[in-house]
Amino acid sequence: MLDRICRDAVAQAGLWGIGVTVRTPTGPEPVVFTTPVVRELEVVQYVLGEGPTGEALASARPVLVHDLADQRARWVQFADAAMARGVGAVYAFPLQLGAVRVGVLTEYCATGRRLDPTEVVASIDLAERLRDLLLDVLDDRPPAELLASPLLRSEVFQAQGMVMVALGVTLADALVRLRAAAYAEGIDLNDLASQIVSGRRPMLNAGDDPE
Amino acid sequence: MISTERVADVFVQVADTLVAPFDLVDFLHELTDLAADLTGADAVGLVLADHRGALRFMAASNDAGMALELFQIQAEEGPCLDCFRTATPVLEVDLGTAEDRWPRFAPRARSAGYQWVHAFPMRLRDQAIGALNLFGGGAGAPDPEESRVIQALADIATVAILQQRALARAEVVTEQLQGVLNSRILIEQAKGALAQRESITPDEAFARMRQIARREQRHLDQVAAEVLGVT
Repeated sequence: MLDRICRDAVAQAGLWGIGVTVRTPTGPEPVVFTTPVVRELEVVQYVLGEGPTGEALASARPVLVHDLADQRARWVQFADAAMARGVGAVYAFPLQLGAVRVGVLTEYCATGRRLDPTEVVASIDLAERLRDLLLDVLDDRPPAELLASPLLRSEVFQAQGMVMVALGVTLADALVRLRAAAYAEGIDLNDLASQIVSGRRPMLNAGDDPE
Repeated sequence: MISTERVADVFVQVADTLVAPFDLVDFLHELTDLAADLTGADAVGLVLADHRGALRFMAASNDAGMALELFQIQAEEGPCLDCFRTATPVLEVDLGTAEDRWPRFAPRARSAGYQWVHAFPMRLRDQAIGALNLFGGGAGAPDPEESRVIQALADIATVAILQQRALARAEVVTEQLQGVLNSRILIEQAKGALAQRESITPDEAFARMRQIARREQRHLDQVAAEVLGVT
């Protein structure tokens, strides 16, 4: 499914390639690469310890490079390797929700091609969609609505932190459990979170395991 | 009325904050506190636009400020939206007569005790990236001089976010805004975790994290990441 979404994006936008790397306990893992050469470049970044993908993950911000030749000094070895393969521009978007860092979406453009502002916006949307899908892998419920919608109250994120500490689970797991509880009771995630944060409702307990 | 000394003090304080190690997220909170402090405002909120141009809540001087911003975002109407869309200040002195303009927001704000609102655009050339919004009851609406000072602070915040004075590249804007919006979520997560761990309120947790950040000269989101046990 992730694969199909990325291939569609490549076809639609005329990109050189897309890679999605996921964070694992043992290090970043490429999980989607629309061509073997994309996978090579993701691995090159990891081995060299430099490049836009790693930088986006570490800085928790997108890294947008319209002209790799112009920005070569940032990651000399990676830039040379990428340009030698016909890449002219690279755009890396962290897949994250606050401190929950799932991975990175990296889009590669051929020399002479760059993303215009509308395409950058579409890429951020794609990144959020991939993030939500990857978080869903932890969760059997129907696919998430956009998790970071402007209408999500602060309490949701605060409750996430509280559940993490109270239950001794990861931040990502905490979100899964909150969503599960809200879904099971048929109430809005915002309302459940509000209740927990204000103390009007007891903290979820370990027995509220979605499995 | 703000005295000349106070204005000078504020700008020195802001200038100090702008040198390394500059903590953007803390600065935006500080800005809302400053605006409340300098004027008669009872609540101050700050909103920023995401990549789609949708406003997101970023910081407030108190819960009331946050509630007012979230209400406007949800209702899709209000002074901060008008201000952002037009990139010009919105100075509404009497919410009692603003029902036509904001049929949902005006009565709601009035019944919560607010009488006036002044919204200042955070703008780059002719486009806004967000808005700084002051709300108050009674006769404390900022006079023209105070408004100029607040607008200057909002402009400084914009520059701080964009980091480049005249020629911000579009991608720098995107990178910075995405980063700062994600930092806000991270901080909320940390507030919850610290509150739970120490049996304090999220607001108290936030105050503690800010203290630690200042004392140890670290960024607020670094302190928050540490609270969450992530690096």
